[in-house]
Amino acid sequence: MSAVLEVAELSTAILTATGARPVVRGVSFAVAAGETLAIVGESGSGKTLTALSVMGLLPDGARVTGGSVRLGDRDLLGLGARERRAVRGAELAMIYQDPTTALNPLMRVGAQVRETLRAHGRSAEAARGRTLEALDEVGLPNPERIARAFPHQLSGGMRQRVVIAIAVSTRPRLLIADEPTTALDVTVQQQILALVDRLRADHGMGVIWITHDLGVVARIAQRTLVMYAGRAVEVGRTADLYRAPQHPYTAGLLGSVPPARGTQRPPLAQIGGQPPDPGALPPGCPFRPRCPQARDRCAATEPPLLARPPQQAACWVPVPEWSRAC
Amino acid sequence: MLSVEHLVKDYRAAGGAGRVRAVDDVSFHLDAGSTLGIVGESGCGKSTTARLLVRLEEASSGRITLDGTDITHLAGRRLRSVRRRVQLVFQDPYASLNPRLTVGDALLEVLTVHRVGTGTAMRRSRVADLLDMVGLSLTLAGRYPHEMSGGQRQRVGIARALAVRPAVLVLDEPVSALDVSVRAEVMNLLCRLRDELGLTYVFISHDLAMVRHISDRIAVMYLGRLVEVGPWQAVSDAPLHPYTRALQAAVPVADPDAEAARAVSVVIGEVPDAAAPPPGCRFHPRCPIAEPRCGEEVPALVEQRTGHLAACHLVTHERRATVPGDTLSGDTLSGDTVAADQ
Repeated sequence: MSAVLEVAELSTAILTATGARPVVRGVSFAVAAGETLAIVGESGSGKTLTALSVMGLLPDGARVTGGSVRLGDRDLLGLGARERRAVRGAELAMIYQDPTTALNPLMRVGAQVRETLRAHGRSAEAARGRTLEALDEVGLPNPERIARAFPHQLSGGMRQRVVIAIAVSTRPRLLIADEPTTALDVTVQQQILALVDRLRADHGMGVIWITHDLGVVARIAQRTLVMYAGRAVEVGRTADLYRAPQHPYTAGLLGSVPPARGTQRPPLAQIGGQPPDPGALPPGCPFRPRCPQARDRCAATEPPLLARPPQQAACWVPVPEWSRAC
Repeated sequence: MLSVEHLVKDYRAAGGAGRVRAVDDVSFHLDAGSTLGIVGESGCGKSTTARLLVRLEEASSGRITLDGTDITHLAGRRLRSVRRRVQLVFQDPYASLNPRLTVGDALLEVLTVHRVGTGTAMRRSRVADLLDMVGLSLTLAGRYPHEMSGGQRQRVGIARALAVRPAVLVLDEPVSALDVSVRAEVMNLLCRLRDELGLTYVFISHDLAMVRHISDRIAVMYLGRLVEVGPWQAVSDAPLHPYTRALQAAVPVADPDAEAARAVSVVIGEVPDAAAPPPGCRFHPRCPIAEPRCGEEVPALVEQRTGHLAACHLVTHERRATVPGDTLSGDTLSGDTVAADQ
């Protein structure tokens, strides 16, 4: 499959009075057409800042410090602000956790979809037709009526559908979804997951789905990238990674989820400790202070992403080797 | 030990016209040392139920009994004594802690207000015990809430609730704001404390997986009403009510093989506005097996199997015939209706 997006050695830092705090540290991944890649991590792992770096939407004070972000044959990091804007919206789109903040409360829904289409060169007439089509595509009943509604007249789930309609109206090659279902009820989350999955399959759109919910990942992502302390610590096919996690952090996360079936309810696995402060990373592997199997080597050198077939993990002593003698 | 009978809570609707019934005829019973999980989506009335149980809100009608005493309308000194017996733990410990007090001082304040122990020395030693009980080191007593992690703050929230030696903890989404790995720690802590201190829990959450993990019995709420109550495994793994089935099918589980094997069945629509609930069964507009009578008569919560109750005309009816379809029909993304407030 052809890669829609190729990110290599991406590094992002937040600039503070005392220096640059690295928040994304040499992250590499690719997303194929028609594929969903989940980026999983807890607060502060750098997953959202990775997405914002790709989009070129970093907040003030944060800056990409290295690497490349290739969309097709262009490196987005080499583009000027105007070219970047043209790519964003047309070829790359992003949806967020809270649809309310993504919509203008004073503008009718239809006008907001049209605005995006007009900004990307559609004629007024084409934009009008495409707006109704896009609202229909995301499963909103009676698109003419929805187009005339204001955001507050819609439910939370419908607002998120409108945001998705705006995002996909230009048929982007890649959609980045940053926890878009976290604020929704679980029955509505299910609908949104099914919707994005259908749009991905129908249009061969690549999707990056950022979440902390390991159930959501299992449902929608073909591949998964786990982030910890600004690094990709494990990447692979979702099924492989869940069946036999290589990195102890991935194993810990999976163990901390209560089982969905069965009569036994043993205590949940605990990772213990806390993630490191990005401004004061320990030497060696950033997970070492919490790792039950850390060795001398782990304190000396930070492991790069290594081949641990069938996936890759940034670990000197991957989980399946723990039963072996030291 | 804790009983609720026909509990109702009405609020005046925003704008002043009409009323919203947030909790509608809810009854349940809780044995000492057991855990009742209450699960439901937004607007189902689970948090209002929590506030009614700890008497932060006054019930519009119905009765709450604690150890045989009717506590529904107690006031003054007797209410304070109930508050020592039944404590609430909030979702967001940050919002429930005074930012200007150190953790140690916050706990001391609770002990002083409730006149637990005599003298500062005794209370200080109780603060040390409480921190130890929730797995926090004594050195954290000098910290302010903003200097702590989310998990540490929730431990402080639990310690504060335990300060007055309650019998019942009402836990309102206690782990929902926490990261996945921290959730596991707090869940383990809650299970341990329940066993060590013989506590009785009402564990309220939108997260069926967490409710399943900790509860002896599970109650499912939808738009103010109880739709199903029963033993944890029966309600979670073999639910009777179509809403519970929909909820169970909607929750993604952390197992790609199970997810791939799952029949895709998506329940339509969203929870309607509580100010204008549908007539009859509250769930009927979204229900894949609804019949005309479901839109007319409110189904009663009746025992379908021993200790397992459901409020559904069709489950009751089909108990003698066939069980309604295992998968919820639906494709579904097209079934929404514009929200009632349009």
